[in-house]
Amino acid sequence: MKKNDHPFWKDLRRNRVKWLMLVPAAVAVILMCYIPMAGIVLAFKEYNYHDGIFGSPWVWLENFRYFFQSGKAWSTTRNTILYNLAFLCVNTVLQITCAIMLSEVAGKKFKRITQSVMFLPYFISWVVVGAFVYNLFNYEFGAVNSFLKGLGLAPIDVYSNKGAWPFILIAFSAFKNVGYGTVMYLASIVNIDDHLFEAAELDGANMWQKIRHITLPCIRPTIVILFLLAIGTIMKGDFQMFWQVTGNNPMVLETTDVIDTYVTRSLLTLQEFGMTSAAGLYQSGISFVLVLVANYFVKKVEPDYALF
Amino acid sequence: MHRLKDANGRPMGRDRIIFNIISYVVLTLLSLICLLPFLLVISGSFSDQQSIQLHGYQLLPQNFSLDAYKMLFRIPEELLRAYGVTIFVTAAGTFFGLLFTSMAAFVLANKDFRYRYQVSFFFYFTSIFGGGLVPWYIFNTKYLHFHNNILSLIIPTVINVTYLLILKSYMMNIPQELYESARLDGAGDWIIYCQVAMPLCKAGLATVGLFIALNYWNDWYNAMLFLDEGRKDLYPLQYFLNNILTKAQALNAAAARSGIPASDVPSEPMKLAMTVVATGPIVLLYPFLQKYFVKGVTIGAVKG
Amino acid sequence: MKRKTNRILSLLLALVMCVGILCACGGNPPSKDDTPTPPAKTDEPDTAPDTQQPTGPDISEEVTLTMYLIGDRPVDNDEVFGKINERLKSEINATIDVKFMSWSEYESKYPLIFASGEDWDIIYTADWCFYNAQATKQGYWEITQEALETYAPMTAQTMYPEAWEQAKVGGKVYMLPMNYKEITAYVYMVRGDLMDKYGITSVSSLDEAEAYMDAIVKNETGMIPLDVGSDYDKLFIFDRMWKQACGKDGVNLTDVGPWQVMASVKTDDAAAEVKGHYDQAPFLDVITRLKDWKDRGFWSKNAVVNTQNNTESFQAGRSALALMNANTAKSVYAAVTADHPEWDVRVFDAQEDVPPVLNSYLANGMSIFSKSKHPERALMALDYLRNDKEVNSLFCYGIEGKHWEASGSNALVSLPGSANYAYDSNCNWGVRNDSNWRVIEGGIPNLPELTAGWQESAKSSLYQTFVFDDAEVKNEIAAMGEIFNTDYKLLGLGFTDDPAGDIAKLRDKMEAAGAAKVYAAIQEQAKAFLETN
Repeated sequence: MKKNDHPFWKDLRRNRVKWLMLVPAAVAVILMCYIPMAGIVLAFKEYNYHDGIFGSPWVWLENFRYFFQSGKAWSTTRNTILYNLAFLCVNTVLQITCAIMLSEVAGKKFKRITQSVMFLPYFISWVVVGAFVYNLFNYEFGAVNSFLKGLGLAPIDVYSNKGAWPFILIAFSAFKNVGYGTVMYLASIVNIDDHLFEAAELDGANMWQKIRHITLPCIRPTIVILFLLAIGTIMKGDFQMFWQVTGNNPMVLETTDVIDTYVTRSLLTLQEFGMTSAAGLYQSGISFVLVLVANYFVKKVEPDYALF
Repeated sequence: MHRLKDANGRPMGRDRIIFNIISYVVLTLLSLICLLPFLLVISGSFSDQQSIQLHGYQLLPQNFSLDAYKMLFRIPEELLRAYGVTIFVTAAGTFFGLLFTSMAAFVLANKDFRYRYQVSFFFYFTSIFGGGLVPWYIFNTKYLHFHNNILSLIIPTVINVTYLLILKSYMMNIPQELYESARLDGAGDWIIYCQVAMPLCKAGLATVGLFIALNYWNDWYNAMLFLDEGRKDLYPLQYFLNNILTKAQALNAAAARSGIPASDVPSEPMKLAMTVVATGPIVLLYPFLQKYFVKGVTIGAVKG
Repeated sequence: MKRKTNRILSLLLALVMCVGILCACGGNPPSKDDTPTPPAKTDEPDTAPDTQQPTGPDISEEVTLTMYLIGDRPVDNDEVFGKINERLKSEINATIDVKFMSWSEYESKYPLIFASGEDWDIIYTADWCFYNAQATKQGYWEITQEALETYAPMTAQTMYPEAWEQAKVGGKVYMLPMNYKEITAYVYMVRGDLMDKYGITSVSSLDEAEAYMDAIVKNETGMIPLDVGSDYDKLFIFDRMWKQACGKDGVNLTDVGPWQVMASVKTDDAAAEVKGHYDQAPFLDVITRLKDWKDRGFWSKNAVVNTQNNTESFQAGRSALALMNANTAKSVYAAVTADHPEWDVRVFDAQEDVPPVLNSYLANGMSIFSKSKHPERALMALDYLRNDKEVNSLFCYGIEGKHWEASGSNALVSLPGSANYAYDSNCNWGVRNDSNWRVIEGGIPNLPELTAGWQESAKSSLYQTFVFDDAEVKNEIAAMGEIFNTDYKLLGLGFTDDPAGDIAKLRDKMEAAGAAKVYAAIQEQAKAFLETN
């Protein structure tokens, strides 16, 4: 009975309720993620229906070639990462600001209404947002140019201006996500023990001091975990957003092309599962390394905040 | 002088008043930015196709038209049934999703659970690596028999690892001493979960529950993959709406390629009407959740 | 110490997971058990001496075939197929069960039903609807000449030989292409009121169109002469100019290979030397003219992100000219003349001297699933759907007397009942058959005249039946597809400040993507093609 002496089996016996509570989630994850994960081999195969996933012939790294051969691997990877970092910073700052303001604002009705209203953009699909962007910036008919013409100014051509798009994308990402993300921080803020604030007030702390020394430190675990989770998706672009907001505009690709849009454009007519899979594996691989590194440092500083 | 009161009815100092003024201004501005596009959507949904093509989105409909809604409500029973399916799927999915997620999050947030890092990793790993659509689809249809099965709308999204980890982070805010004292009172893990952790994490549960519910509410992809036209009665709302719209667009695209007759669905206002029809109910529901986002539910209160 | 055991444990956990995955998957090899069996399963004819046709295939077992079509189930579909099945049952002892895949989902779902292990038999296919991709992945059952003669004798007799050739992928045929000659010819649709206003009498050439658009852009503020640029019509004007330039005496170029590789070849070159368009003489002139048109404001400065196509803009009154194919023109004309009779819309031939191209037969067709349990019976059923006058008419037009009424031998009149089963719109396109085809009359006044002219001059392009096997160069084609979708389309709308310089850049990018390798492969195959034809 040597194996029963291993701490794992001991823990399993001692904490069996805890382990049981993990079972439903674990089963779902095994069924929906781990078993189909075997399909990763597709990235190295030339799939055909007759031989299926496992019987199809191996092509090894062949499926990765188009991605690196195009000369766009670096620029799209760079864009993807930079955009995600920018979204992360801007959205987080805005979301936390809104959450703190909402938690402090006195009017209850006002609070409820603004909270609901700020959630509305979440429901507007990117297709419709893309149409808004087009209506705003169209050279001949757009709202911006009509306004400029009304003032007697020269119209601007946004769609051929590479430099403008990062700002537009960041602005619309914030627009869509502020209400959604605010809720997460709000939930964290309302969980802060009120006694802390009361004690601080007795010590004569003002608003700003309380925010700096109580609110922000208390929501730090949420910030850190959301940051780590964001690192994990840093190689993925919100495809719909990039495709629809820019209108898949070839003139500004230099600053707007991310991995997902690039792969979609390249494989539009080819329908190669293996090649799609290969791009996915490249994204996952890089994200994984980055997350391991980030998590390692977080764990060193504050083990409780680490993802794993 | 009458002193201003804050959200909890306490009098406010000058710093709070200033902060409140700033907050009112900023939040009002942000709300307007968020509201305006939605008003354009509503107005556009009552316009006709040509005026949108010609003038873009306007704050007031140029040529008032109910065509888009007529198209959506052409067979009212179908739309209502789709609503029913979505409500059922959202309710069932959110219940089980939240139950499973919170149980797992509770265990992983427990500092005396020795393998919490390893198990967290076990979950997290799946959010980075995936086998892709084809293997997943084959497994779900061939071995789990999800084809034309309402479970296919519920099970695949029942656990979202991101939400699980977010909920875990909320739960880690609960002081572990509370668990200790409950344990000394003879409570087991299950009792602690039900009676200590859950009540103390209402805001977190409301948040994650909301996100899970939104995912179910907005999902049309699984329906597209697993349901075929033989089971139209299982179509959820978003898929039902999406179907009407993309059908017109795809048909026109194919018509351009191969001499197939094109359709004349008012696709522009339809896009917008879809948003209105699908958003309405959940916006009405949201205020009920908001009571969990009000500051002042103190841990001390439970402690005492 | 503890750390270490933890690490070992997590490794173990991972290992268990992996083993689990492997077991789960290894236990069920997904496809080995049901390999497609060519006609070996059925008994030899001599064991069934009492069937009606002793030499014909064995039809003693009654089967139900599942057929996937794209679109929405027409209200009367089941009634129509009830009638079709009556006949199929008596003729070949089989019935068809139709399933529909809606327009909103076919792009995702079409490839998946091949992988899912679902049991089905027949599917609609087309060159724009995954034919090549699924054929190379062994998704379709191969239709051999022998199978065709045995199980589909009517088709074997009526199949256009060039259609059969076109359907070959790697030398094998996987679809029954439609038996229907269709030409694509382009027309200009023009506002007659504006023509009269500016004294323009005709818009039937690029030069005349230029004069008309010039008048519009100078006098009609707020109007875009020609609102092209959507995904659908990004390259319409380029195509007109390019085709016209290629057809000129002494140039004689024709496109070859998949469109995203942008390759062309001289029609009189037996060695079939393949070059990128950018290396052909007329390319610079075409791009320079496009740039000129774009700079003069003939289309929007934001044309590349246009979400509406030019016919929609024309219908909405935003633009003064539209370019479209004759089929689209029919429905647009009907809609516009109803909404805006005051526009006095006129239609002109946009082909100029370029003979319209006979469409690929692969634009519509029917295929059999490679894992179908009854591929031979499916082929027999398709034979009837295609060639049997009664079955074919039912499928294409619905029930006579309820949905349509004959008008002569090759025209029909739609009856009110056709709302529930409309003419030629039930994904029946794959079985369109010239020998049984009926048209609906009415529409554009000068169209019959134009059509007659086109039919006279229409010809198949030299490489019409040439299908390029891209197996060796998929990566290069993917990389070139990217360039096609970006740089090339920009040039095609005249978005360039320096045509010669940007063409040189395009050339560099194409070469980096492996154009030389792809062109060499096309050339080799094209040469072999010329020699065997």
